Amino acid sequence: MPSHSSSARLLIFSGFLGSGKTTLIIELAKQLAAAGDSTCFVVNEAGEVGVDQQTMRDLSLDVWEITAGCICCQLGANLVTTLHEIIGGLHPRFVIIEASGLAVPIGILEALAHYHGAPFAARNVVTVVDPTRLQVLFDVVGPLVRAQIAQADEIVISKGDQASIEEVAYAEKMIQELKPHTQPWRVAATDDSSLRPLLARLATGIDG
Amino acid sequence: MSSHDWRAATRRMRQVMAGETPDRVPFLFDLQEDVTCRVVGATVRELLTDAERLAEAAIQTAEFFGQDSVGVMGAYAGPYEALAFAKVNDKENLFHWYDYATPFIDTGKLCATADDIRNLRIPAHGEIEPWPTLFRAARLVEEETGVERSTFDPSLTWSNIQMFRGAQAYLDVRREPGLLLELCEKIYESQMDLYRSQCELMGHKPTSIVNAQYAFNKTMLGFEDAWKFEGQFVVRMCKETGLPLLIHNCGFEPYWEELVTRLIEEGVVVLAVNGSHPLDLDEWVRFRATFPEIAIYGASIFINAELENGTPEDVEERVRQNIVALGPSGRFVVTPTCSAHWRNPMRNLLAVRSAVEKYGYYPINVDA
Repeated sequence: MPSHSSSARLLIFSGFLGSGKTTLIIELAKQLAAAGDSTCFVVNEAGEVGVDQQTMRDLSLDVWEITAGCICCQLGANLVTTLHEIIGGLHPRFVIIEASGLAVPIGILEALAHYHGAPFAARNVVTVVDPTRLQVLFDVVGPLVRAQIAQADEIVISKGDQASIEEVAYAEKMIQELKPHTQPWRVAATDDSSLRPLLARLATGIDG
Repeated sequence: MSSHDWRAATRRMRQVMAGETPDRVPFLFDLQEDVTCRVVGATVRELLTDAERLAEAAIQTAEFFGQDSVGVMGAYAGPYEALAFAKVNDKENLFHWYDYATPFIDTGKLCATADDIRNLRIPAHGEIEPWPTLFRAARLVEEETGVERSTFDPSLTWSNIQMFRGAQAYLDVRREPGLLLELCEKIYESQMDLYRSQCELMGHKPTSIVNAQYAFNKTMLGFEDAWKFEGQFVVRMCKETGLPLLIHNCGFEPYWEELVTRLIEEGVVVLAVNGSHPLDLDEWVRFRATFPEIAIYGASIFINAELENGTPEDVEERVRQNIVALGPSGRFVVTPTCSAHWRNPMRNLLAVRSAVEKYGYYPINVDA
């Protein structure tokens, strides 16, 4: 296996189904494309992602679909082999993984323990939290949502244009409980100014 | 005529289920479509539209891996159940085919609205393809191998809910529980139709139910919610059909002990459990001590661990550890879980059978 350093930065996007991961990734992809950064996007093809992959390709993303027939096991299936192929063959600047909405980040990180290709320049988990549904999701799928927040390096509170002040405050309170000293990013897809600092941070890399 | 000793294989499986000691630990794979396609050199759709070819592919694949059981590709209530629903509800465009991979339906679009649920039509499985082809193939496999298809493989209920309703289902648990139960009832009705179709087209009743208990996972629903929207329907089916249960759960943190205890309390006969998690074998040894009458299919042989990323030696070692830990007490079948897939190197898949041959003969050499 190659042991030379890769310049690729790995960004793992986590968050419950419908939290806004794909929207954020598209915005990030636009920014990376504008900067001329080569980017590979790894996505499950189990039907979750609601965006036409041609849209991704139009944004210069090299889209890799990882197949998995079972919705329970889709988390890590094929991921490591896919990363070996991407890093070994394409040498991208960024690799973005959109995790299943039902995945906990640690599962992906554990799968990455089997990755023996060139090391990543940075490897970070970005968890997207939808404040409009957070309270009910804590009630129904608490362990999953808590794990997604607790295991993140960066936390994004999405749907700032749809959430009430109370919903955002609740999200911030829960994030502080689960991940003390974390400053979550508050974004709204319709408000470029809320996205710009986050995208700049993701595009220039997080070395946490 | 097949050269594989299906009679010996069948005897092995029956002995294990009866709590007797076979000549060796049986072994079987759950295979994704792409593996069968790779072995026989055909596309998914080529196989699913030709019962004879599908039956031949099932036997050829099982013999290639040296399995003690033979399963017909797709004959469980997974994506093809979604296809059947999509067809009768005029939403076939939501279904996506691949030549050499498992097809899927767009998540959450079949039942995006409350009206979609209320108007959801149940497929007639005896008529809607690919089910008739799947059952015809299963019958041909029986005729060729002499191995009777003993299981009925429904999907009650959460994996179907997940496919049909998507993320909204998790909100429904609190906000629209009545609506969600309405969907559960329709899925139950559909699975019973599937059961009756299997009985009719196969010409005999199965002897057990193999259900994918998708909700009973600690990173999924809380236990009582999982019971309300999934568990109670499993109990109902077991009672209505009079069949015992084999539980498949490939989640990362299954509620094994709580679920089995509750099912037994409800009067369900639990024959076997099948899962890859926990990966800690000691926990499976504890499970065995708690439920000595329940067979274990597995146990901690995870298709996305050594089988995907390790060497054949790693795979053999993992299988050996499982055999040594669970084989001596019997009622154990080596079954990598969940479904072996395209990215599992062929040499690693073949190493499973090789390990069973090396370490699986009774009496088990625990010092091996």
